[in-house]
Amino acid sequence: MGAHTGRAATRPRTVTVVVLAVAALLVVFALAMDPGEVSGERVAERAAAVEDAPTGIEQPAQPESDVGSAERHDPDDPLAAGPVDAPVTLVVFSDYQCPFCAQWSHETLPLMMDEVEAGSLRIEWRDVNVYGAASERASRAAYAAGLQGAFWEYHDALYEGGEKRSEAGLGQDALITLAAELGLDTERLATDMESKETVAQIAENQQLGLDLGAFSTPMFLMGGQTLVGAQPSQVFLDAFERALASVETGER
Amino acid sequence: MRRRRTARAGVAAVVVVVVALAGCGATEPEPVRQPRALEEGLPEVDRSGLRLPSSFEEQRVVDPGWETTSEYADGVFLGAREQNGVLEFTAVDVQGEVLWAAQRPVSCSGFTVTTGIDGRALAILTDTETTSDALAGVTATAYDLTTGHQVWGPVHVPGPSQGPGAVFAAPPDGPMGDTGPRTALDPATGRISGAESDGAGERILGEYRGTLLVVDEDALVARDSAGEHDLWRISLAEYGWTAASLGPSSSLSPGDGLALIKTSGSTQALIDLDKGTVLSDTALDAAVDVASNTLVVLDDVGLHAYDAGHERLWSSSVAPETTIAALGGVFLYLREGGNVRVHNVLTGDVAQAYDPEGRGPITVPTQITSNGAAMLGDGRRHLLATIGNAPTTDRSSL
Repeated sequence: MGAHTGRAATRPRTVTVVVLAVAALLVVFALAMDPGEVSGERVAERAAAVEDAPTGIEQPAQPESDVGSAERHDPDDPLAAGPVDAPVTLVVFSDYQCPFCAQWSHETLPLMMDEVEAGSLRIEWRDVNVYGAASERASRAAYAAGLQGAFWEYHDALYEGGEKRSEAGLGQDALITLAAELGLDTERLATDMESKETVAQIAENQQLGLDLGAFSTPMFLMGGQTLVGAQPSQVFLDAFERALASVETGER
Repeated sequence: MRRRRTARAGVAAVVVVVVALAGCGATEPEPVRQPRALEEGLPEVDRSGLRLPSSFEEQRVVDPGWETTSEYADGVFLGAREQNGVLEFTAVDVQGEVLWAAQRPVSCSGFTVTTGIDGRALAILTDTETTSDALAGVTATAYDLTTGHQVWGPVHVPGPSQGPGAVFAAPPDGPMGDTGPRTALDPATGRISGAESDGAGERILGEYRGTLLVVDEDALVARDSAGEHDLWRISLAEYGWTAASLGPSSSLSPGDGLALIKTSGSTQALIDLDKGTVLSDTALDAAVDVASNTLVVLDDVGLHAYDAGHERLWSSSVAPETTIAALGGVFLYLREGGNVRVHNVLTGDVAQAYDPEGRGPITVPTQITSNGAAMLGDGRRHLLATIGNAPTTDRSSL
């Protein structure tokens, strides 16, 4: 069980007359609507639908890692784009069965890639595979494609049109077929998918994400800021500008 | 057996509650019944004053002003509040735009959201017909949930919406009374698809977006939306149920194609409406995460998560007072006593869904849509976390 935050929420002290009236009416209504089955407990629940609020949050154990450690700046990283010394690094925690990840890759990633082309941004992709085995298999295939210098092409193909593939579309044969369509060495890709190095790296990336709280995808780290979910592209452009500005002013 | 609470009680019928005190036919201001566009947008909520789940921290949050919990279909929420002596229903899309508004008398009004035979989402609002000194009757009218255009009605019904779905009954005579016999309407046409008679005979459990559930003396029966053809039957004896033990559930719908029905005072059954199978006969509540196609069932033993093939992903024991607040985006929000706890629904791990350093009233999702919008509760308001850009569309064509 996770630790409590120890900080109680501020319970609203002002409740409108209308809400109170509705809550009271709910009590009457609950008594009336469930003949023979109504308990005081159920009455309270109906009223709580308007008024109740939690006072604490049960959190998981705090991660040992910090946000900065997520950036590797490894020149041989097959899952990265952009110069290793780019002023801003975006670390993306994703999953190939996550529809919001597909949406983000389709709508926002191209805009981020413009900054990569300009030398201002480095993107490091990490899959956390919260959706299970098919995601992990696709992640290994994408990594193997990366070993042939084609991670981003393969990645884009997995999210073609901003849509995630079905679980069957992430089967072994489908992933190899996709590699063939992209002109990759399929025998090498199949071998690399199963290599100890690939398996270890995918597991390491996954653990990194989970340690940083990426239980839900997509999650992003940029300039020390965490972004969760497929937000509008402007949110990411603004976060990039802020991160770049903080580097230029020496704050980071 | 430990008693657990069932939660996420559907309060769409909250509006009906007013009946109990106001009494049908009371003098009220004349409402503007036909759906119309509103000039005013919804007020944006200052997120800095709320402790939002991280998933919603960057989303624009608006306050629809609803005093009822809302119902949702096809990207549109419907809720209501009392304003200047009338009930104002508003349909709000996931971008936070008010698509239309319609008013009804405070008395004998109710609403439900269901689906017509063409898959179109419908809002059904009830209304009262009054003479100068008496209630002449209650009617139901269906509107396209998105456009507000009238689809059918008004048709006479015995009373306000009782639910689940397009089910109506006369209100109880007093706080402890029973409602009258229930009548179900075909959401596609507004015609009667089922009607209880006083005393013996079939009882109507609910209308679930085109599927009518009734119980006769020996079976739970599903019918098509017109109530003409049986889709499947489940023997009551197979599960130890009796006709008297089954009843409509007050829980929110667990998801499309599923229904919860009450099987006793403390338990419910989770029914697969398409297959006519009982997924759980001990469920207290259930919910589906559309993103991962994961089903979560809360029963007297604990929480269970199942994948799309109904293979169990994980089970976890939880405290007796635990309830499901919402499920979506792979996050399962639980209420446990005075706390909220969030699990990754696929792994069962406790997730850090809130910024540990966050401040303000803890805001908990009560409904998360497949496209990432959500209804949130901050203890005093029903708030909408929107997706996409702020609305700019001129809807004056209504």
